[in-house]
Amino acid sequence: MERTGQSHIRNFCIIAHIDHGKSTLADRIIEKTGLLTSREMQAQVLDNMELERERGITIKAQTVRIIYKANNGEEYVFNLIDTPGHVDFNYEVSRSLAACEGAILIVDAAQGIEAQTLANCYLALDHDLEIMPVINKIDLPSAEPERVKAEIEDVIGLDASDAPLISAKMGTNIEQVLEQIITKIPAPSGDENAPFKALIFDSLYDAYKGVIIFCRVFDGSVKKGQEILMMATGAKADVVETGIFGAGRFIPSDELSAGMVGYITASLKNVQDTRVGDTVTLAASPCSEALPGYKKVQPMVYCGLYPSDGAKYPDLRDALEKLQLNDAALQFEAETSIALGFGFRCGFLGLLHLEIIQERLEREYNLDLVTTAPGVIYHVYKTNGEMLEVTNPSNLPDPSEIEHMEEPVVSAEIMVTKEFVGAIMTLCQERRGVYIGMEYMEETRALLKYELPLNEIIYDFFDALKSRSRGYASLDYEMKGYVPSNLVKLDILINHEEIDALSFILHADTAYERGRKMCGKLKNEIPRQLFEIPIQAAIGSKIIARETVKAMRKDVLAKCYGGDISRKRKLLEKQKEGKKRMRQFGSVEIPQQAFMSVLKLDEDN
Amino acid sequence: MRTIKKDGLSLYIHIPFCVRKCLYCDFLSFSAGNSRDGAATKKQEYVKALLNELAAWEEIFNKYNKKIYLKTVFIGGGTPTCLEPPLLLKIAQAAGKYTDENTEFTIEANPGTITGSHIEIFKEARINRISLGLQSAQDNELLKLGRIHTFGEFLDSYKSLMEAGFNNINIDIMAGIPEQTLESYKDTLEKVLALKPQHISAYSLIIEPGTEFYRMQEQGKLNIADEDTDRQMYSMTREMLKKHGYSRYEISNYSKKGMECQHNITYWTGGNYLGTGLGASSYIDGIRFTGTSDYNKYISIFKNRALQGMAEKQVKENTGSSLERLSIKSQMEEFMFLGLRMCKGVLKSEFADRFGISMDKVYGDVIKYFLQTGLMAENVNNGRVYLTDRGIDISNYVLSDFIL
Repeated sequence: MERTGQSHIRNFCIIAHIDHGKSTLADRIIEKTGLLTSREMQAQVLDNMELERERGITIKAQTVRIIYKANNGEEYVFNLIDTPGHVDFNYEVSRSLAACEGAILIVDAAQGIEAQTLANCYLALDHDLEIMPVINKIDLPSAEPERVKAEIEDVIGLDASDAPLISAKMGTNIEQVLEQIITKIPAPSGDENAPFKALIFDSLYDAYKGVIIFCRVFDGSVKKGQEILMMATGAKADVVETGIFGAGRFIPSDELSAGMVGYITASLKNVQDTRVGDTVTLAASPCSEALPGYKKVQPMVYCGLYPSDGAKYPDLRDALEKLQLNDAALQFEAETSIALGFGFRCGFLGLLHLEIIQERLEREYNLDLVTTAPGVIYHVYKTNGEMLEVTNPSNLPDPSEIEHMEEPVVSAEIMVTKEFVGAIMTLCQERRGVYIGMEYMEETRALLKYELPLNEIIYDFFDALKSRSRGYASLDYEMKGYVPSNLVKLDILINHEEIDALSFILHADTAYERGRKMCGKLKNEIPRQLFEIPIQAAIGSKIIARETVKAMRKDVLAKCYGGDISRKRKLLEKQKEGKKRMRQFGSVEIPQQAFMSVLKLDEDN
Repeated sequence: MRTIKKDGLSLYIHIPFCVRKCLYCDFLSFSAGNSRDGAATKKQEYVKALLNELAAWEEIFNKYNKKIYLKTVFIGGGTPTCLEPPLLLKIAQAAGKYTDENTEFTIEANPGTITGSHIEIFKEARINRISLGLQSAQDNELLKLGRIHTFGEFLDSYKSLMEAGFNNINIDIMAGIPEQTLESYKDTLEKVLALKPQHISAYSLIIEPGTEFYRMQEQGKLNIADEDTDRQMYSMTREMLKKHGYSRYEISNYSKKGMECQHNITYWTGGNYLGTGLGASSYIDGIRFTGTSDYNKYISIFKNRALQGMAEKQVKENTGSSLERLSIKSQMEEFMFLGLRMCKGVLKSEFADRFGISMDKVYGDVIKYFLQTGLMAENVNNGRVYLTDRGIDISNYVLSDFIL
């Protein structure tokens, strides 16, 4: 393979708000560059995970190398680095951006700029990326490209005068985008003779190849047989293969050199060693300093994951380890619950991240899981001066030992059309939000700024936001810090026994309401048993809510004659199956569903 | 089919017709039609098909040199007495060829459809047990259920049967009927007990999916007894019947000594039974099969008498893919969950004889648990385990643990 000089390489990503057409534009670019025939195109080449396709979002950054023959007659290598499209994955986004020289900013011609567009745009500007605006969906009857252009100029301060007006869906004006990539996005300018230095922006575990490192080479080069060093983790390994990203496949290359985007496979079994954001260099002649910006991502949301079948505990560990290969943000450690047995306390970037991992474990690894209520990291200051970080309510010290507690708050920016400002402000107040300010982006849209406790937004805040704004509000947030808060631990007692997996930490003002709702929900989920079962919510020794599951009195099939036997059998089999999904606590059986149901308290209110 | 010869066979004959469908009924039944002539033709065509099916089975048993002996026959429905007496006689006689004086020969009868000539043909066909669907002695409750008769009409039918010399009569009653009260139910029990029938089946109303009651309940239009009342009715049944010399031998069945329904006992003890007529199920030597529920299909299959040697093909067409050989595991499960419906429970030695493995080896832990929780009891003298009264109350909960 002939090596392309850096002047003919363009490394870029596409940033956009969800649904503004990122994947569709990526598809069109790949199509127009002629690497693939239309027939070969999957509907959306980049979003190749089943789950991503269903949810319509990109979870894992995918990358593709394509060849574009420009109007000037020369061939260019384009490396399109896809970025995840959700606020949970901000760090991954930032690392993907760091691998690029430029970014295409897609703005929906009808909807204009959204909170997330802004956030990603600022992130790109922070990385000194050249931003190239593109107005998409001009085929929509409600498209207002000129208004959106003005908005981009006013709000972000980018020159949008020659922004291509495209319809990714219809394939309109895609050539303009391709030509502008060459003229507007700078070519890489690394030192080919300097020591090898590359940024890990993703990694993937492959059953055959082991860990595959996705990297952007800044300086120097690397080839098979050399020993590489991961500068932050200190791991070393011999390179087995280097290569570039064809659409949907890996194409080996002799080497990777400055300016290129590609992959390295090495004798690496442990992906903990290949952290996103880390710098790869050569062990023999390392570069003098690592690329900036690496951080070990810190999960924001924690919950317990337990296999419903205790025997599947090793399988769950295995699956989590495999997922972690591809997901540096996922953290887990073993824990035990009296109620649920052996499981893992897992840390996630956010609730979406949690849901995705949970679904992947269930779908790809065939595991049946019980999840405990998600929580955040609380700072607990003890009377003896010690500070504990608590993610599992069970680990909260005795109240007498607690001096005070602090909870994390985020700075949230919510973009919403004028008519819903009132509703969203009410929502934020209900969630203990502190109003910071409001800016009008233009006449009809406002940017609301609030400080919100993180534990108030990890449950269902996003859903509530959408439903109260008819889908128009968009949210972006970042960690602000910790503030003192009147927090309490709410315990649930079933048949007078505390069920540790149902405990959680919350603000004292909301405890009564939530305790009442949980008892009500559990009452409906716990089937009647041989004796009466009280369900109680308690703070310390004080019972704040109570419901009772009456004793089972009648469960009998009156008639069972010759023609009823098959039906009777099915009924009993079903009942037996239901029993299998129960957890035994002393003499009480609690269905798994009960543990899950309390996570969705607001659904039917 | 060795066991058929040895122990005899139970035969069920299904008559799917009703004057009209009761609101709680989920059995395979329907009205024969609105026009008088149409209904008569339909019944004739059904009886003809049924006789052809019986003949086909006769041929099959003959082919395999099995001597047929029917220890019990049960004509059920639907409402068998919906059929005109001559049609009913043909059916009863076809079955009667293989019975003797020891055969328990039951027919279900709906008060309000029994005529004098019905009773005559019962006698003629050696039918010796009558099962009457009374349900309630209160006319308002009967109306709620969609029954076609009044209590007065029931009394007339009952009296006629007594006069004709029938001495094995069952009366079905029901608790949990809409509008029923504890008092009205007690009155029903008292009125039934005053008649001194040999057998009483006392059911709780169950709202089955697909019934009119189910729809009404969904719409909140069904006013049925609350749980407390239901349980009071239930215990009242047990106590009053016991006081009057009826012993409970199955979850919903009570009888005077020696008057238990042998046909139903076949079902609960894993005995062989052949089901004929629309949608009927059979269980013979570990094989279960069910005939088509499609009326037109049934008629077309049995339109004609099978040609010589074609009987097997004919019945197979009827049972289609339903044929299932029960695994030993399934047979063990059924031995337990059917056997435990009966108050005397299951015999450990019989389990061992049948399956060549001890009951304790298969179900020891389960039985131990239920003995501990008081839902089952054991009679160490005769080696039987059985459900306690409390166990019967929640028998589904108990029996489901016998699914392996």
